Amino acid sequence: MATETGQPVPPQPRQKPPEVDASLYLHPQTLAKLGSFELRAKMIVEGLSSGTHRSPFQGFSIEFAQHRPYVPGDDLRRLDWKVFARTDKLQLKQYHQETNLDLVILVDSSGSMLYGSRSFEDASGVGNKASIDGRPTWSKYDHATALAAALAYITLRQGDRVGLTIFADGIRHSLRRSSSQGTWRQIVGALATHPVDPANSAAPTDLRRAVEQLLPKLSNRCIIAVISDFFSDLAPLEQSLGRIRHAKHDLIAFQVLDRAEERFEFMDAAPFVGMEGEPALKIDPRSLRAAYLEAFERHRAAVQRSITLMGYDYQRIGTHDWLGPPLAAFVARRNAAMKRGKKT
Amino acid sequence: MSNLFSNPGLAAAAMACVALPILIHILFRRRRKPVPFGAMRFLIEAFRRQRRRLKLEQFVLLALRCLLILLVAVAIGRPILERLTQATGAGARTVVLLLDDGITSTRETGDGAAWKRTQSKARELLSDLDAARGDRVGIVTLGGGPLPLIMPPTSDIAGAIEAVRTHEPVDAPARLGPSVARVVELLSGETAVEKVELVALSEWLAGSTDRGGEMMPALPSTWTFAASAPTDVSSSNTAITKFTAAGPLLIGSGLDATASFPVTISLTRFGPAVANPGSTSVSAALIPLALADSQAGAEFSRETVNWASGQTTADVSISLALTKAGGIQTSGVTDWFASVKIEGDGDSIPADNVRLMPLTSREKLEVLIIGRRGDPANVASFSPVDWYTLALTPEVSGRQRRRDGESIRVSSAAADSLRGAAPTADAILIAEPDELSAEAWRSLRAASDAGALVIVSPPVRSADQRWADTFATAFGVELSIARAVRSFETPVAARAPTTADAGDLLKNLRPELAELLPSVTVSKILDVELGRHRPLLELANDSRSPVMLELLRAENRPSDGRTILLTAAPELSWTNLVATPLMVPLVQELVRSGSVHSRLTVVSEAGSDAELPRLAAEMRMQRSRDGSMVDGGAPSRTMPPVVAGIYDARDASGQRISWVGVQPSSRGSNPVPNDPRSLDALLAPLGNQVRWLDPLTTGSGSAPAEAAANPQSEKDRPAPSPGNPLSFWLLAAAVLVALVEAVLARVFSHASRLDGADGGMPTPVTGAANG
Repeated sequence: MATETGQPVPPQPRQKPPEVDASLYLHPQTLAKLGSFELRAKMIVEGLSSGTHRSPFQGFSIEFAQHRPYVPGDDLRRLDWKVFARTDKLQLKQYHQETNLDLVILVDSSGSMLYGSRSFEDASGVGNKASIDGRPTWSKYDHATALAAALAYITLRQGDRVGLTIFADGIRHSLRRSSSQGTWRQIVGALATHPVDPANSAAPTDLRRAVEQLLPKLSNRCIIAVISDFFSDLAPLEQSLGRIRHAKHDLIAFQVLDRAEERFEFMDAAPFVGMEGEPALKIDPRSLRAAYLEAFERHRAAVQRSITLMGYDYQRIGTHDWLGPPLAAFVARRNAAMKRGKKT
Repeated sequence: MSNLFSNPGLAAAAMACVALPILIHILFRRRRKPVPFGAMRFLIEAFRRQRRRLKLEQFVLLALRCLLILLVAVAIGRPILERLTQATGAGARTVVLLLDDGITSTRETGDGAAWKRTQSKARELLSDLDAARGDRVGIVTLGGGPLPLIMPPTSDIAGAIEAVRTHEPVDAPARLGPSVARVVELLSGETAVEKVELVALSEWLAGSTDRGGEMMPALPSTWTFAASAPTDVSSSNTAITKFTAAGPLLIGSGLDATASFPVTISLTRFGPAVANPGSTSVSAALIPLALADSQAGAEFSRETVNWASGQTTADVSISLALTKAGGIQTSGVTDWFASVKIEGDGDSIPADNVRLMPLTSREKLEVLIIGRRGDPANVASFSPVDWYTLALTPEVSGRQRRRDGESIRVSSAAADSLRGAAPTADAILIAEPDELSAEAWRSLRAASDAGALVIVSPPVRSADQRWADTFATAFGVELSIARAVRSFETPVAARAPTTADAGDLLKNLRPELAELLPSVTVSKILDVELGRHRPLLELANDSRSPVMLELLRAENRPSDGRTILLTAAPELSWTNLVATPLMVPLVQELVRSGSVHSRLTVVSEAGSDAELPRLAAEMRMQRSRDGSMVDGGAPSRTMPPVVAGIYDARDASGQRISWVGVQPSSRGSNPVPNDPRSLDALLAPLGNQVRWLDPLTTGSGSAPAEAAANPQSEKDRPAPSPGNPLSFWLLAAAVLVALVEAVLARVFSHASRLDGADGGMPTPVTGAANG
């Protein structure tokens, strides 16, 4: 598989190619919840077609493409009344050359993303007791994968293009933006076949380098969804955000955190081992809990502040939480912001 | 440790548990499974900020946990720190029981043996003690001297009661003074025992108290001495006080069925029965020492002693009949023992009714003559070696007399052949002492210590008399001897010494001496200062220079071999003794009488080591006091033995030295109540520290004079407290420490912050775009 960056593809683990099961990453219940919303672009995207998204190039082409079911919030003017008269069903007419919302999803695959305290069986919802690579726990990367698949699914349902970039200390894998049939399956397959490599799990998060590699490939303005734990220094993060802002892209930041990291409810003294090459630490976790939580929350708040100060959106997502509610709330808040943007 | 705790073992084990928290800490550090963690950077940051505080907290918690275990350990150990317990009003006691288990404690009266009453009283006193309060007890038995049964004092009261229950009385007399002195010595170094109660339990019979000049030591001022009041219950007793055989060595080619050996038995009566006539049956037998069931095959000779009114002592001669019944094989038997028993009316102490004496039969006496032989064909050229040999194996008409030839075997050796190990001969005759090296003299001393007779005479061929110094040094005798030989122009006659202490060596030869000695003259003599030595023959002039003397060591033991010095060499130029008829009987009698101790038998008294072989390192009982065989030979618990019987005395290398017949003490057989005034005199050094308890034996129980001045009764003792208050306070402190530890552990670990369901869950924050 070619990459956008032209870099050699990292060696793939020799394992049975996963028969991608969308339900593994996209819980049916999650999809059901999300199905009632549409992802609205925050900004008017420069595109070749006009459509659902507001475009500065309205009226260039109105070539009918397909019908799709009406969902609350759709413009009633686009209802096909004739179809309604014949079938008593509300269908919306869609046209080619609507302005495309290119969504680029950046998924963090650094070592810390391999951590998870929730059982895989509980999280997957379909009875799988372990991940494809044999892990019994539902890692942050697994959660990020599910989130990315959800975002891609929603976006592709709108007919927009979706691209994927998996990064750690740099870009490890990329998929071109596409809205064609089968894109979603490619995305899910890439996420499944490029999990965090345990042999290379010491790689820390380097968002700045990944952004530097990604931005030259984006010719039009995109919305970039970064899914990461953001366990990195703040300065590179802020530099990355500045670069994205300078390129006039929009950004949605999803900080994926595990409940054990957020609560640190370990009781027994044990040596704690880092997942990105940090030295082992023999401690009594109870005695360090307060100091840890303070440091953790301070960093999380700083990440959130950095993102929001740039005018971007921030959403914390816990691996123990159901993926639907935060996504739904996020989309609702995005729609509200869009409406405000229309008024102005 | 045992001085500090009632349960020292438990306390030690519990204190060892202090290591548990440390061990747990170390083990858990090593064995914990590593926990991978994603947000490690924040954990490291927290640790770096909290490192110093964490170490301090961990140290405080570890110290508190160790202190907690230590407090519990000490509390479990029940400390008996007397000062503390006194401060809390407990008053722990340290009691040392002095139990009279001497031979008089076996006295039987109407209500049983005195020892049983002593045991009962001791048990009663021990039951009053309370280990929980910190009371401790030590036990010392008086029989045979200071023999600590339990010392230093212990809080194991039950163990002390059991020790008293299983202890048996001994055959030695009680020795109160040395026992008390020993207790003072043992406890003087113990700082924890400032107050000690000595409690002596005895009937204080005449045979129980010290009569050997042994005085009571003064006690520390904080100590007290309580004693059972002397009894006034008298009883009668007949005891064997002496048992003498013609000699412990029986020379002969074997004991046949007709053999019998005369012995003399001395009996003594005590008590009220003396006022009346009576009779005592005496029986005695000679039994092979190896015979297992001696009673089955014993054939006792019997005599009866008829006592007249007022008669207290009697001697009876009796012939020991050889035990031959039951198919006993006597040929080849060399080790025997004589068993003497008495039986009669009014005998309250059965332990002194039996005496056992080991006897040995030998086919030949081994005599070693050191020196060179002369010309056997020319009498004028006979050397002392020739004269000795001729005297020990005389010829009559060219044929040796058969009997003597069979009983003495003579061998000779050059002086320079004596090296290393001691000679094993029964008698060693040294004709050339100037030829002996210092090493040879040490070998001869070793042989003498083992019982060999040594006869030394001046050298004939040399005028150098410096050998005497080496000899005196090696044998440990004080000897002042002339450097030159004195010659007489006219030979001087010899005679028996006029002093009373002539010893027993020539006792059997006295009639012959009177007849044959006047013809003996001395031409040359080596002058020796008699000093403390015992003369056997002396010059019949005014000088009374000894011609033959028995040398006595500064520390002489009956088991030591005898040493005889001839000041005139047995040679014609020195004396005509060698050519007179006296020579043969004199030399033979010296050898026979003087060598009886040689590796043979010794008789001693229970509790006395004066008669034991000098080299004896271990005594194993072969026959108990009643003559029954002891399987395997039980080692004596004490040295010297305090239980009568026949013992196998062995040296440090395990080699047998001799058989030792340990006899019941003849001093302790008097069951007559003691004169209270003599007891007062005995306890006088204790002053007003003495108080009296009830007598052991039921009677009027009049206490001596001090009793009136010290009317304190044993009932005045404080009642034992229900528990050890020190342990209580320690446990209370442990509970307090446990509470502090729990609180601090919770505070340090911030466990309280985990209580909430969402304790550490940060509140989700929405993006600014939602504004």
